[in-house]
Amino acid sequence: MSDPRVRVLLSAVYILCVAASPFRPWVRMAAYTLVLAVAAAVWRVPARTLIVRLVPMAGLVAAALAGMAFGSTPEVAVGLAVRLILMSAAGVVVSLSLPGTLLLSGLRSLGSPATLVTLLLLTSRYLHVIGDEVLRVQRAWRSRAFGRIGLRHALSLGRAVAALTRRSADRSERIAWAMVSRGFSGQIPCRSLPPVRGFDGALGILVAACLVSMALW
Amino acid sequence: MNAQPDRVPSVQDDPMLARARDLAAGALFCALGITVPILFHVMGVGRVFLPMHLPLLLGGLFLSPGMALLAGCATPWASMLFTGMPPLPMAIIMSAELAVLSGSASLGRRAGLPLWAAVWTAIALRVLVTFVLTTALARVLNLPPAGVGLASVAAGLPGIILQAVLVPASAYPFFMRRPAQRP
Repeated sequence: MSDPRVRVLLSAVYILCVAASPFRPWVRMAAYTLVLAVAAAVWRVPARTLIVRLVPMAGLVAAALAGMAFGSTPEVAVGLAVRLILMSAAGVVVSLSLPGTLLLSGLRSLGSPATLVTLLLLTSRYLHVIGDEVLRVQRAWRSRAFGRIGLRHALSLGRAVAALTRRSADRSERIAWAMVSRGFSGQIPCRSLPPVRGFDGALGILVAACLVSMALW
Repeated sequence: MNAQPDRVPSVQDDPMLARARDLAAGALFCALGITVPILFHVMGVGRVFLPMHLPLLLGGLFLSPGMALLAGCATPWASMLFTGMPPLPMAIIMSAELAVLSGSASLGRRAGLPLWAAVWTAIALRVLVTFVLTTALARVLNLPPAGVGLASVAAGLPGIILQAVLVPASAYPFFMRRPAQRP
């Protein structure tokens, strides 16, 4: 299943089904986990990256489990934590399984607003430029603050971010002129995708039907 | 002789230039919204200083209201797409927060408010949205709603102070020199 549109739609169906399913029976959540694991394996998502990207979920999971201290039953708290992890993991799996531009092309051809897709395309294009600049600021700030964090250091870090923002605004000016001089017509052209292959479509419908029937079970 | 000196086209002459400028600035503020939190996290001063808010609040002062709203709304999703942070349920909350922060700062500027008033109004509205949304999330997580709402606002206080002081101060000189720079 290589079509980005099918992957995006399937992940949306998956997230909705997980959110709508009651936690009991446990085997249902196990089945959802299995579906996600198979998808991650088939789409060759690197397990280590997936785990690293799921680490920020720890705070929310802890918050869900903390509900037990305020009268929530363990079953409800654990169910909530599992669902939060599965929903987040589905988003991460899809984003890791496709290059950013292909994912954005998929979103565009699914009818996402053109301005939004253009904004995200430009963002992905300049992310590395800004990232390099942020690294330079980080080095400069480290050499001044020597790893200490006080109010004064936080303010100096804030000033560095403000300078970064001002430089970015100046850079955007140059980018805008470059875009216009190259015949910018309101949108950045997005890679057009071929029609969905019959096999991809059929498999997508089958998996979506399985997910929905698991939710209704 | 009726020769006019060559003039650089302005935004009023060329709507495409205005759109390109808005899009490019929106994209760069979006990219800053993704990379600045990484910088703060590397320094070990992550969440309390609300690092994603800082560039988007500044961006709100430069962008048109529509683009500010869109950039605020899209940044957490783009960050989730490219870095995996924030996780899904938080991305929904942050998307609403940042859209309100950036959009209201831009609207405040368009309404003719002074810089500091636009920034402080945007921060106040954002705090309100944070309180409402975290209260709703706390209900879902079976946590005490009011306590969680207040705690989430209080946790971001250092970030709020940083924004309230720094953003107007750093944007002011830029607005002073920008008209001369703009064609």
